[in-house]
Amino acid sequence: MLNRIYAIILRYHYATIRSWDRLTDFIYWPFIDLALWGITGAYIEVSSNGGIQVLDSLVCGIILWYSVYRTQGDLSIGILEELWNKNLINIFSSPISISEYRLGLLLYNFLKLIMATLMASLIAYILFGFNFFKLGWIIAPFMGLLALFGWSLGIFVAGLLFRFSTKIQSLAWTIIWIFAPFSLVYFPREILPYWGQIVSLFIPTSYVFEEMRSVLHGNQVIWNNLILCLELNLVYLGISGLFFKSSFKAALNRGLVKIY
Amino acid sequence: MEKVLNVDSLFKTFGDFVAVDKVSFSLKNGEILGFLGQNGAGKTTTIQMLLGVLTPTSGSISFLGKDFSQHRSELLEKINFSSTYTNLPFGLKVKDALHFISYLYKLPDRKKRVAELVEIFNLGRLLDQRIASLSAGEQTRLNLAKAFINSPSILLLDEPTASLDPENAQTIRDFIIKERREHGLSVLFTSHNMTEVEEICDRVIFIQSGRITLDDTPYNLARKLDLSTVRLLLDTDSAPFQQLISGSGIQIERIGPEISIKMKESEVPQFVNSLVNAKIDFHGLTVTRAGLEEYFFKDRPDNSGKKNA
Repeated sequence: MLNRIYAIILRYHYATIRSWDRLTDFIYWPFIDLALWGITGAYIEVSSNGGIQVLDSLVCGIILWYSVYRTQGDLSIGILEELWNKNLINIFSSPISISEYRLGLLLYNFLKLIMATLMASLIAYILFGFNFFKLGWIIAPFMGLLALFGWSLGIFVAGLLFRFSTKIQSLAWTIIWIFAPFSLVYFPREILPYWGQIVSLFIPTSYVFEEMRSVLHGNQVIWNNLILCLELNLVYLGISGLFFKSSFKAALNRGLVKIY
Repeated sequence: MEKVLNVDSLFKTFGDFVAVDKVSFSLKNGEILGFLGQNGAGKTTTIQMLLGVLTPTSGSISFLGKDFSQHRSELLEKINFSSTYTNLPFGLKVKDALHFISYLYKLPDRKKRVAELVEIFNLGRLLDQRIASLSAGEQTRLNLAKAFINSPSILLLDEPTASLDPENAQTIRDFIIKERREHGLSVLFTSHNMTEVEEICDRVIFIQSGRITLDDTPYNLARKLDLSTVRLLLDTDSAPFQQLISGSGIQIERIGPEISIKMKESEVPQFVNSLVNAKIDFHGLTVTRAGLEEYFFKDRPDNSGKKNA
């Protein structure tokens, strides 16, 4: 079993190191995002004569957002790559099970997330002198909870891909942005209109970003919020897992050779 | 011989379309079984079900005496396949693909096995090339290396030599025969190349509109047709020859400078004897027994009574 999970990690590792597109994910996009939002934050701080302190929360928000964005995107694009390459049959005619495949993909995804976070932290430090690790050990549960939501969405999109194939492939890149405003990455909950605040209560990531701002302002973490976030995540993960399972079953009924 | 694959009443529909209609057959240990049929007959659909990448509507599949649906992972350690219809990831290098695939199976020495296959399939100079840059023939060789990576007991080959030049195709056939002889490999083999099928297969089954319509050895099938082709060079306008064929019902076909005559095998000696007795000057006589090609694609009426194209 472990050898098969390792096979999937190897498969995506090679796909990453052989592709300039994948490698730019580590440097180019973090650099662009951090530069744009960081400079915007710096401008707001200067314009308000230091009355509004947003640079740290914007930069920290962007680095943590990668935990959602990258996990969802990499997982969905991982499945898409198999469809583009017509490689599903090679994988699933081997002894590997769909659970082992998914676990291998998630583990590789997690390794890549750590690399991407380290790279984004370094860029933030170089550009703005912001030390992401000043948040301390709380970074680990923050990233874990955010990655769980990214995986829920990634698994849901993978389920859609098995059902509708590449006809809906653009969702792999776009679905996450529907959740971005309600995740409260860049602003607190009160900024949203009332209906948006209600929606955000059902989005697990919103609790993490609220706590992130609280910690940056020197407050204590409210654990009940993170537990609520975990509970919501487990509900979403369960739903997306069931959807993925039924989609894969439907794909097997059509034949994996026809999914591309 | 012990059965390593048993397919019983396999049935698959896509909506109202019946793709595979209660197909039953078996593969014996060390046997190379030709699985033949025209495009769309149901060969690839059947093979996909045998690989577990397509769920049958009904019916059962067992490998090595074990039910496939219950022992999928265990059985797939001993099975592999190669098909012209699938690809390995284009962005990877050849060595990457072989490396990651070797980890999908339990292998005692992965490095050694990969090195052996690189040697056998002549992939050495391609190891650092991206799969996208390989020619069709090179990709086929890589697919075959992938198919042998777990030293399978049962191999499903879907037109494995379709993109290969004659020399490489012969190398692959020789390797399959060697694996059968030395390791008791059993093979289900589809091909449109009937000469290849005759050379390599112990038995053939023919699928037509999702149903198995024939199951026999290539030799027996060809004998059932009882047809030979006589080819020779002679002056067809000569009076003795015209006299010989007039009223005999012999149909002559001109192929370049030669003539070709189809007749029953038992009639050939009598025909040659008639040429000699009539003092007809002829050269380059060849007699060819009808093969599978003639049987399946030229002379066998299908179910509707029409000749197959």
